[in-house]
Amino acid sequence: MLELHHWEPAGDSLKALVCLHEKERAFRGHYVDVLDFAQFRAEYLELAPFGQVPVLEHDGAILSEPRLLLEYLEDAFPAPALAPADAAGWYDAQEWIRYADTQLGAAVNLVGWHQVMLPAMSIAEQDAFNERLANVPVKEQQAGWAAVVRDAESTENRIENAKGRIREAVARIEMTLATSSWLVGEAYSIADINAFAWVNVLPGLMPDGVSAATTPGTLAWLRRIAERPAVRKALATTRRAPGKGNFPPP
Amino acid sequence: MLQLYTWDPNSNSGKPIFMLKEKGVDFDFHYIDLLKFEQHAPEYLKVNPSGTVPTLVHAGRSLTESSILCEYIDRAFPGPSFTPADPAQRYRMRLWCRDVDTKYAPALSVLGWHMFMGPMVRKMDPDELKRRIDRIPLKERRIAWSTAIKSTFTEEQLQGARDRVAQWVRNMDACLERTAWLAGPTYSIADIVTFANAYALPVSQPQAANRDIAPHYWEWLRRIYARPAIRAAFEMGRTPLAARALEMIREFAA
Repeated sequence: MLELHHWEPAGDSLKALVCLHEKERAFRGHYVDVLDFAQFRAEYLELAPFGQVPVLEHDGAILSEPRLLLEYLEDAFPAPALAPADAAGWYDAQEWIRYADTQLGAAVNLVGWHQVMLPAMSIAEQDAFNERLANVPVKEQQAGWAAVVRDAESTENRIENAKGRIREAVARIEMTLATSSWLVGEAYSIADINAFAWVNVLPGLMPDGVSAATTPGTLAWLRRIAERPAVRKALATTRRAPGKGNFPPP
Repeated sequence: MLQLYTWDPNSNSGKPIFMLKEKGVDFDFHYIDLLKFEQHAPEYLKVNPSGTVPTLVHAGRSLTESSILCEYIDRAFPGPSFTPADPAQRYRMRLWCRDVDTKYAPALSVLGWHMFMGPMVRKMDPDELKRRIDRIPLKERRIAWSTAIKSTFTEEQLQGARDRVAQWVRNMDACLERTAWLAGPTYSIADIVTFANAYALPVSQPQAANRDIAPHYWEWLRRIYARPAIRAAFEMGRTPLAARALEMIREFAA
């Protein structure tokens, strides 16, 4: 039994959808409407105590940490292989996943929320949404140093800082792709799937950051991935109107 | 020969020491003294430009992410395996490591800073301190240091960190009531990475980590402290932390 509770084909949900299609695994999908706070309903919190999305159920195991799902899928469904088998290649794949998630995950969602999602709402809708957000039953508190850094940052411009982090990550991706077609080794891997989920929205979100003029390698890499049947299949599952954006609240 | 640049067998610095000792792999040990800020010194920045410990140099590459470095060591060298074969257990192994890295080690470093590092650096010459902070390569670490030096933590922040550590001990204890080790029936990287951060809690957080409150955690500590590889790792330490851990080994054995 394989079931995926997911939102739009974006971010962490997109990675899981792409990987399952790449692995040619039949699964039952359950759409969790994050913009309607479905991830905080009591029955969903039984699966994911902090309202994490996506969550995978596999033969009785509940895998509720979205950022460990790609590694799990590689372990559980080794064919077709989507990661190097050798120690150094596996380290690199894991390192790219940690790096892209840390550097890009929150930053892309923050910029997308403020630049795309909020402007599409009326003031009344924004107020209503923020009120519901404030009443969310579970909130993961930032720990220790993360909180210290966050507090220090909030006095500066958080969106500008997020864009700075995005530019740093894109520069590293562009540099890597200057000498290789893929992020790790000579083959498409879960590291590419993971980074694609954050970077594929950037040509629209930060056109000065990812473009044919500034980052040709990254753009060609995005195109190569977007053409894959598994990726097209995953992206086609969207329920939102084109151009409406699918960034979750940060 | 394998080159390991690291500090005492504690937290991130300790993970590869414990791991290599468990695997039985020999290595050259380069001690980077965090108490003397050697991790930001120009010589070390040539090894790791980010100025973090540990760094493992092997097969012409420098590897610096301490938790996935443990998986690397496990895969790259012969010897016993510390990665479960079952995919769900591997996932749980990585989840314990991730929670240590993102939730619990940061809470412990708030408490550690408050008790040791903060008072120590505030005694330093301010110009000297500024010079040392300016040479920290990672912006995030610079912000953290500057903020922590300027302002002491509020009681609310300290209590938040203590609560988080107490929750961690409860989670470990509940898990270890069900399975012998954190990821399942076998000793794994989850235990090694968690132990590297949780070994001293009976001393530093005795109200949260004691035999009455957390008997399963306590027995888990006893079993790990009894491992020869763990003793060998602590014998490489140079701080009172390692000396205290060696005392714990004797106390648990008695």
